[in-house]
Amino acid sequence: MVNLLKKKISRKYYNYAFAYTLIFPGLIAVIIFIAKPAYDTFVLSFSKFFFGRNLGFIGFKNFETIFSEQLFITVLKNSIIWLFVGSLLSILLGLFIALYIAQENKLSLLTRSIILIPWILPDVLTAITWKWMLNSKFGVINDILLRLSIFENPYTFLGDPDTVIYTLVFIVVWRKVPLVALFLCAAIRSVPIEYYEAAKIDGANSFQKFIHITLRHIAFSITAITCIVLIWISSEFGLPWVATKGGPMDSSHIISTYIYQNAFEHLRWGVSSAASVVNIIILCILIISYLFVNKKTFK
Amino acid sequence: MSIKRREFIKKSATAAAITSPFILSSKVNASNSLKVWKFGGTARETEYWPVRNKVFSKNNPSINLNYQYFYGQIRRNKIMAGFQTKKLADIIIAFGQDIPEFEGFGMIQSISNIDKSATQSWKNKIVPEIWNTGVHNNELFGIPTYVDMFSFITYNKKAFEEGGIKEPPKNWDELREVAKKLTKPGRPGIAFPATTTVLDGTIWEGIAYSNGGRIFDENTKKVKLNDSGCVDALQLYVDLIKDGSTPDPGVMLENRFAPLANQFIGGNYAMIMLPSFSYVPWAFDKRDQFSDFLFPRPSKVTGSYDPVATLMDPTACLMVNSRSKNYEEIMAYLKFWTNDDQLKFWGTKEMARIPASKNAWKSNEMRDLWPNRVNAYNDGSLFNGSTPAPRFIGVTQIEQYMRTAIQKAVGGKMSASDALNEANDNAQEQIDVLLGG
Repeated sequence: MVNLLKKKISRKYYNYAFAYTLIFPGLIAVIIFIAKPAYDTFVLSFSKFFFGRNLGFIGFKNFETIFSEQLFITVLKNSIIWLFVGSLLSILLGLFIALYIAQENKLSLLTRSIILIPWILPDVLTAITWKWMLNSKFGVINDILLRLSIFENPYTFLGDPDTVIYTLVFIVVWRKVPLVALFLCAAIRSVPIEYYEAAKIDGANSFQKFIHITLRHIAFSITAITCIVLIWISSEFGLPWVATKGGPMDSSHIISTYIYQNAFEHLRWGVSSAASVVNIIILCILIISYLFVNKKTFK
Repeated sequence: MSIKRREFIKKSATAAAITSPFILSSKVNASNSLKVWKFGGTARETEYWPVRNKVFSKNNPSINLNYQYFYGQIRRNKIMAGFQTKKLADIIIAFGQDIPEFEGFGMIQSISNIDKSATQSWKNKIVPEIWNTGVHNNELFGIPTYVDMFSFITYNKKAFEEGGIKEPPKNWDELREVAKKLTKPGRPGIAFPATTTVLDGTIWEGIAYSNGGRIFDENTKKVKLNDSGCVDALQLYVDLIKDGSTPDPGVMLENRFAPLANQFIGGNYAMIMLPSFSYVPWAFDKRDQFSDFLFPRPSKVTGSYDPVATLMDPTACLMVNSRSKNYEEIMAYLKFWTNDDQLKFWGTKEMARIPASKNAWKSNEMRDLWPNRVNAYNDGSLFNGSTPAPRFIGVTQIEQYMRTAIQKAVGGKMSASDALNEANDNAQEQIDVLLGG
């Protein structure tokens, strides 16, 4: 009996030790590559760090600097459009496509397999390709729109300061939608079929089934993917930078391009870190508020 | 298939033990190794450097050369990250415009301090004005292999013939007239790039500096974007648009110099504002169809400073990492690339560039390809009054505001003077913080 107990205890510790051994490298990686840089960014945001020289602690000066810049206000406005419109459209379109590909037919199976193409393309390649397709002189999109007589003259999608941010939102949505759709498709397919059968017997129509069964069952998945999409879109850098470099007239400058430009072009690492901290705070507030509003979905 | 824990750990440990010596050995640099990073360049240049590097390695078998090429637009972050992580190459081949900031950052060292006599012998081989593009605070920090000059107008010969234009315009008023004359439905007379790309801004700077403008006064530390030399240069852009001689401003805000040049090659415009490399990178084999001329001066210079003929930037300038001490290898490489065997490539095999070597200008090949430029070089007018492109600590900040101002004026959101006044104030704030620190 004692031997059996000892064996059980040693087995239990062995399991713990084995589990922690496996987790340890991951934990170390998180500390080195996420926690430490995040801490450094936080410290830098309160320091005057210029041209590789740390000129000491300056309190909230970097934050004052960015909020006093007209450019940062423009960047915040653009970022709000980028983040909200981008996330909202990604989720809505993703849900719409998910409902289709969750069905069992040959076409939806084919769609399921090819839908990931936008997702697997590298950011830079995506941006360059869209840049060429949207070009007013030789872009295929303008060509089609002109041939269909939808436009009378070519439209400068990436050259019009009033609409360029929406063009970029469209591209980012095109890129993010596939994974959102697949994620939600998996959630939809996990809803027990019996619920739909019961609803059918009760005479529910498709819309009612969607609202009362599908949406209720996938609510948690929608909450989760919304948080992920918010983070993805807020951290998206390559696509807007390659497509427009924040132009024209700063009308597509968003917070990630602002952070990059300050850090690597202007060498203002303190200011850049302060903008990163602002970005993290905004994102945390958004996600916490969103989770709070949707806390019911966790039940 | 089941995985046994003991077996998994054993196999992982064995794999780590086998691979670690290779990983560690790759980190250890041989004492006679030389690491070189090259940024940007044309397709021919990208092929040329490794080919000649092979010759270098053959001539210097004891030096283990590690050469890497990177896209030009990432050079600043790549170089800075390399320096911060102590992984920066011994020699970096980048833009001369970055020299003051790299030196201010302590990333590069004076080449003249490494070997004065070698520096002097190289100096004798290089065109003096081009040599100066690598000099900062009276010391050599970069060896230029060629320069690009700003700004030129490239034109379609057929369009000129059709329009009855016999001679290039001599001043801004004539330029406006010629552009109007060459404009026909669907084919604007002139186009200029106005994106936030650095080179698009430098094209405008070339025009502003030729009108006696400056973006910054290094003596007073004042931003000068609202100097009349700059304002009038931007007004010229606005006037060309108002004349109806350009494509829709959105096209010029959307397309940087390269796609715009491609459109020009395709017959979309009669003239285009470009640097000295002109049409060559895109239409090397169509020399009979295109030609270029130096951007005309204004009838009356309105800026507060001396007008310059052209701005020059060496975009393949060899610089030495401040931390590198393997001087023997470094000097061998610099000596190799300052040899005429290598330098003769520019201006001829890569005809898009203005060669740095004095001997390159004497070659028959150069005379055949660029007769006008060789004549101008021989009579001293090509480099007379030419100066390095703006370069000082803070240039990137000022140029960013400058490019946005250009866009605001071109896009019709603000007048040229208002846009530059706004940019001037914003840039001055940044410069005060920068230089005050």
